[in-house]
Amino acid sequence: MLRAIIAAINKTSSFFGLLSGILICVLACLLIYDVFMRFAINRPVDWTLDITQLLQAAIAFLAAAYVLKIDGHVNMSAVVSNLGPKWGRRLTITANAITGLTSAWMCWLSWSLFTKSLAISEKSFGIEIPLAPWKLLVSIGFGLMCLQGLSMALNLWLHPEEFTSDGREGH
Amino acid sequence: MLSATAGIILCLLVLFTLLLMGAPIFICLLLSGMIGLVSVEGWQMLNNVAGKIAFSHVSGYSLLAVPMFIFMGNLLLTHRIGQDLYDGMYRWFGRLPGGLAIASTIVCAIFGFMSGSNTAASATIGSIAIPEMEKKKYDRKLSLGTLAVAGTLAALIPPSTIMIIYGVNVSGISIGEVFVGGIIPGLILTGLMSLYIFIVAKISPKLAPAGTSYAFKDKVKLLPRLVPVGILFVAIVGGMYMGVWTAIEASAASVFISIIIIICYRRLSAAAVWDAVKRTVKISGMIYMIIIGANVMSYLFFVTGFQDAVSKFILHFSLPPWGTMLLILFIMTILGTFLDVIALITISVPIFLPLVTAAGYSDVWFGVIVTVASEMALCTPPVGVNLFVIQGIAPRGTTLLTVAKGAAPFIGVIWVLLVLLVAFPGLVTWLPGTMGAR
Repeated sequence: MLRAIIAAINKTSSFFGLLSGILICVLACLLIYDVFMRFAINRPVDWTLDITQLLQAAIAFLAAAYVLKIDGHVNMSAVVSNLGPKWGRRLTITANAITGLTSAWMCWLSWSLFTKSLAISEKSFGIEIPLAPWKLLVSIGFGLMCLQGLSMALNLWLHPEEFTSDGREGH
Repeated sequence: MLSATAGIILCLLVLFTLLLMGAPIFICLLLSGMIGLVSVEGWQMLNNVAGKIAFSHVSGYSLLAVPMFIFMGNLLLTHRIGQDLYDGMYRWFGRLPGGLAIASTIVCAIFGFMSGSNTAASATIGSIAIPEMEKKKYDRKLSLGTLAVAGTLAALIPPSTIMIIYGVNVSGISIGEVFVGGIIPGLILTGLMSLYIFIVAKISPKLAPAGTSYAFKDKVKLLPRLVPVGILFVAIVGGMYMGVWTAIEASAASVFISIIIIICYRRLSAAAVWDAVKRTVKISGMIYMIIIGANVMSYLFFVTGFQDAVSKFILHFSLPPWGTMLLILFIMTILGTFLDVIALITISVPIFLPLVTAAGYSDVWFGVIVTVASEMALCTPPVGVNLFVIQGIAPRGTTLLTVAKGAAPFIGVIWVLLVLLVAFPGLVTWLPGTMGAR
């Protein structure tokens, strides 16, 4: 049962990571289109400004849980890797649980950002796109990260053999 | 509620505890900043600002160039454009003492003109150069240290994601000017690093033996391989220098041009493009989250007046402008050992920039200085990202410490550059001063 839940959370994070990847391609196409219209045709468009900024926020929040899943967030692993497997694993479980709980806190805190935006029908400055659905992505992103962090802690607790203390890659 | 001082101390205690536990850096910054804000300003304040900070800081227009330049670098990486550069440079410099390491440094600098990502540069050139250096029996510390630090040249040579992050944190600055300001220091650092390798190899030839010598016509034959770099350089830096387009427009154009270059090389593959997309998601996702965490902490520093306290602390020494700068750089070097560069810039720039401008230096100049300081942060343990990248592609059994020891002498070389830039600010500001307006 727990194994199935962990697998489902991993799949969900991967799905949103994939979606984020598709959005990066869309973002690139929109920005290239904007440059093409401005410099090649000399007919600049204004609607891309709002959309590209909101797409960027979507990419950031939808990718967060996936990046956590693939250990893409930079951390200071020197202590964990020098503690040995037993304490290293315990510390990693705690760090993952803290990641999950902090994300849950942020998910809760950012909910009011969405409800306030919805209440006043907030729109973007340029082409007046409703902002509430985009602001909901903050809660969704941190919610997914909460699930991913807690599932990683649980997985490591249930399967000690999966513990590795490798360094991680960043930008 | 706690006093501002007690809140900051609590925040820093939580930060260091979480860092030591190995939690992701963005969580360390986020949670310690949130705890600090609650303890000093109360729940209501946190409730009002947390979501706003998270949303507003990752939907900024200037930040759009970050995923695009990272995407461009990864497209070139996954389609093996770096291999051609390396072969070309090796023929020119390979016969010198330490020639392979010098060629790698120069290729990293050239790759920097095509990519905004230091890890893309390190991973691309490292994966080609490390097996070659192992074959030639190079000292492992020297070869890995060279590649870890040379990869950071991509942070200084435009386009640079780190400079964009700096630009996002300084209102009214032209990112194009900071980009152009990085060119001369980038070339000087490439020269200084090459000189250091040459001297080491001359003194101890066993550490870095000279390579094969090629005929002049064989060297010239590979020069056309530099054409893609030339095109991207003209498009990105040339376009911004002439005032044709902004950094964001240049980033979009660079993705398009990279794809055209890859098509011309007949290397375009769906699998490699998707690999580049996945790498971009990973790196951009990580950067965005650190931006959120660092901004929550930076907000705490702002509301508690911590920034003013640091300014007063530095000013009470009554140092001359260059002394103030060296003190700031020293503090940034210490901070850079345990903070990621994005966090380092987001937190330290609002604190130090007013002091720097009051000392008579320009914000463009400081942008380049901060980028050079970030290069050190990328190569110092325990959070030096480039060390991890090189360790990941080094021969089996290589420890992080081996890479860090190899990189250590180059930190001294970077400090030589910093001192030069503090003594002669014109090395940074001259070129941006000749730019067209946009």
